[in-house]
Amino acid sequence: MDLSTEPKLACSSEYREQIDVLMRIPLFSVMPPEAIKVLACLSAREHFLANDFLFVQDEVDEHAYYIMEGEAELVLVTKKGEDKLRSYSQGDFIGGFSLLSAVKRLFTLRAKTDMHCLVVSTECFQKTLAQFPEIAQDILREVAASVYRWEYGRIYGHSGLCEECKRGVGVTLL
Amino acid sequence: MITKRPLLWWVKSSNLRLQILLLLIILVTVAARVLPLEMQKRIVNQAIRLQKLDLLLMYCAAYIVAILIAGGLKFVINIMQTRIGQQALADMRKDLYAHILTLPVTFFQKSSPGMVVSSLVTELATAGEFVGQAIAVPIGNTLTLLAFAGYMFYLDPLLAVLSISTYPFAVFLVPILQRKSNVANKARVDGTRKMSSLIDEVISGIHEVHGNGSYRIEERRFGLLVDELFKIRVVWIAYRGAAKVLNNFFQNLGPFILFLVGGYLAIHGLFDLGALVAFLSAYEKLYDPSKELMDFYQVYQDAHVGYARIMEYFDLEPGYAIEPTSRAPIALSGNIVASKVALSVDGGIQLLKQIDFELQSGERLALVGYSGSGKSTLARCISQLYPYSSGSIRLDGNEVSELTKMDLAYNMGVVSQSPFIFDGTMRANLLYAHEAIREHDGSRPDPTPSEISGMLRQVGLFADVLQFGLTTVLHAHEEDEFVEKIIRVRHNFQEHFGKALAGYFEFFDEEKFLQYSTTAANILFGSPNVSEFYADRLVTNPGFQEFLAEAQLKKPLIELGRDLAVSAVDVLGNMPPDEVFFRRSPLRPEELDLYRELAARVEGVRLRGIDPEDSLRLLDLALRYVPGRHKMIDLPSVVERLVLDARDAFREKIERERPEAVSFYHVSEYIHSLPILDNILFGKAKTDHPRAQERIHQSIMQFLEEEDLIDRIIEIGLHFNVGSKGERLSGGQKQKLAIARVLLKYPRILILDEATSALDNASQEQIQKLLDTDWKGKSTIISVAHRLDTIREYDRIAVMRAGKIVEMGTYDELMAKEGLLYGLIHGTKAGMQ
Repeated sequence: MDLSTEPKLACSSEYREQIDVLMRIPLFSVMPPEAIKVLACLSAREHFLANDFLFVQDEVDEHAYYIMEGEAELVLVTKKGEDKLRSYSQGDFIGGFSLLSAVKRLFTLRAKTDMHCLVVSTECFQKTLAQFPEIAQDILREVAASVYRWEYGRIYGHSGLCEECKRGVGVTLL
Repeated sequence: MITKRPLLWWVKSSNLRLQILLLLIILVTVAARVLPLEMQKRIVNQAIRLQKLDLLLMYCAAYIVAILIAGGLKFVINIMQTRIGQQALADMRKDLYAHILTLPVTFFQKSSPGMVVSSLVTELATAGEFVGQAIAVPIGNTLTLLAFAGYMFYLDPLLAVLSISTYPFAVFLVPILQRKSNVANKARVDGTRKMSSLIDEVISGIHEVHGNGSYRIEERRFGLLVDELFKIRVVWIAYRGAAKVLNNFFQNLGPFILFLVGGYLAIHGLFDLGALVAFLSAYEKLYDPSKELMDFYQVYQDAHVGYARIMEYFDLEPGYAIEPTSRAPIALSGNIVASKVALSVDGGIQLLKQIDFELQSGERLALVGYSGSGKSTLARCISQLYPYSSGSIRLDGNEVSELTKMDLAYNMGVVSQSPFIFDGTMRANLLYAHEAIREHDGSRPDPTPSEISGMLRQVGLFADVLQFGLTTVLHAHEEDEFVEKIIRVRHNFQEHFGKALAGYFEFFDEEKFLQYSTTAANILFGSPNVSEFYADRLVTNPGFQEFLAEAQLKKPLIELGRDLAVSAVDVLGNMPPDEVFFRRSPLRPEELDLYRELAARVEGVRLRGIDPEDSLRLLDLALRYVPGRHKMIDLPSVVERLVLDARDAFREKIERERPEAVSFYHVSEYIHSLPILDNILFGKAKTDHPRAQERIHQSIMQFLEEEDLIDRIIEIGLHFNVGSKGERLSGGQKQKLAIARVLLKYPRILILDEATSALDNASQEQIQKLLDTDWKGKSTIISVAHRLDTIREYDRIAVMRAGKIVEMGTYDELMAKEGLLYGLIHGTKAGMQ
């Protein structure tokens, strides 16, 4: 096997682009080139129509999404109605957590415009990971780091913590 | 009871008329066997010696006629014997099976299915064979033996006595060996059984073997049994062989004496030559019947041993009578009273103690408690699956242990923890409980289609069955009206959603290369009706190869195949043969090794340097290529253009030469080789994403409803075959099916033993809601609950611990008391299982 991420000449430009995308995502960037090539081959480009759901609250979803084009909004459905939490756009990667273990979504993700995404499924990710057991530790470290980054951003971010939010911090202490 | 019948019972109860007829035929045969001997003597003594040709011809004619009759009758005897034997075997199997089915459930916890299988399938066969032979063989052969011996005495008493003098030895010695062989045979039967039980056990638990990697342990366990059986079989066969050899030896001793004494007598003119010839023949003919008798003895012994073992094994009273003898099955109102119910098992362990409760018709009781507290056991005692040791459980005043199985089947529905689904259609499984009652009561009306589909909706199986219906391939002669409606749905779907769903879906378009279909499908643009045009055969179809060459496609496709092989091997070359890795490659997991070598051979080689077999493989890969899915390689524009040209040319060629071979896609024609769904869609989904697929699904549902097709598709879906043990259904589907099949018989008493444990929350809530509303008051319900949030609405909740009900009352009462239930719910004590 060719150990560089540079695929054989015959490969399509779409495939190369998928390799580039995956290498830019922190979770995957720690993986060796051969693993990235396999993962790039197994990921799918999906199209979503505006207003369609990518995943739905309370339902198990076993995919992670990288937005290549378009916008999506994250919604929390409560008894009172819909809470629009935030928007995602081109270059955002959503749902890496579910690659580690399938979980029920706590939110709904809805396409705001027509979207193109690169979708990695939990099954493919896990099976690939199983072939490269030596990187599991790196992945774990990266996950911990991303949680840390998130909470650090929460606490020291430009807007600072609101009084109410202070009670909710501490995910890095789990 | 069948297990009390001795083996000879079957002989007595076999077709006696046939047996008597058989005896008569045997008598004629015996005569026909002796006659040739006399003819032999006369031919030598009279015809040859006196040189009379007419006598020779006459005797020869008599000889041949006798032989023909004997041969023909032997065949008739064989057939009759087989018929009697096989009939007996069939009866034995049916009766024993019926008996086994009624044995208590506890019996099957100890015995393995393998035992039952080998008993019914192989071991009974010898017993059947014996019954067939039981009259004809011993009587026929004894008579033949006596006739030959008598004839010999008639010729010369002294010689007869001398030549038969060896027989007593054989008669004494052979049975000794036989007895030893029988002992070994018993051991063999036991050994074989142990082996089949072990195989059965290990295969049923194969996931544990894989999970624990315990291959060596299982190999060793099996090996021990095999070696043991090996030794037993060698001994058994040795004894059998010895008996045979001994028999043969004594047999051959006869002629020796005959020649010695008979020859001496003949030389001295005391015995004529014709008589000697007839004597020798008679003696030789003694061999056959005596051998048959020996074999029969063997069959008898084997059958006797085997039969006794089987009957001994299953010699157990059924736990309950199957149906009442002098009355119709009871109709219960659903009142249940349990008092002082106890159950103890071997070793004095008490699984249930002092259980008391009372339920009025329509009331609901939830049993909760820790694992092992006896809640499932109690449910099983009420439903006759376990016999309780003391106390009483009364249904409308009738003691459960005295009711028949049919009484319960009429009034009670049981959904067990891991319900069993039988091989057959969805419909057959849904109606299983209902049909069981209908067997006894033909007047019971079948559920109407709307009742069935209503039930499917209630338990949440409707969408699943609809899906089964949509994925069904219709028979070619499905009514036109239905097919027309499907075509209308197809048009509507294209018209209304064609543009909107373009991102999710690709319609079959004659003018375009279909990105989500294989190259082969792009050329065919239709569905094959003959096997040589099936996708997997195309590459070996010489006509198609020729066509590809004519269309200038062969070379570009081989080149494409090479690119596909090289890139797939480059990326996936080190992956294990797991289907997941090959979803986005035309390679199949099992072909990886083959193509890895192939890729190394063909990379960078000029096309004409590739050997023909490799070229075929590459061509095969290119024909399987789906550009929209196998994205590592772009679709070469030259291939795209040539395939579109080839599509037209292929159609013309087929329509000219073999119009029946392929049904070409046409937007207004139904394609009979594709499922209904594919006929509606008339294209391929671009995506595997569940959300996108659901979106497509929703869109067609609307049109199906408009055309009033849903009921018809549900009906088709009900014919879906669920596979052996329901393997084609998910765990949740199986459980919902089990609930629906019990509810469809509308039981007055419903026993649910963790009946929703395999369901997701939403489905569980749906079922609970169904029980809380529609079913409320209609059935008395006893539910073994594994989740405490489902029991709030129950009339009574019994908390069990160590086989006792320790707390009972309504939800609010028990919560107010802050006792055990409160503890269970708030997790202050150890949680539920």
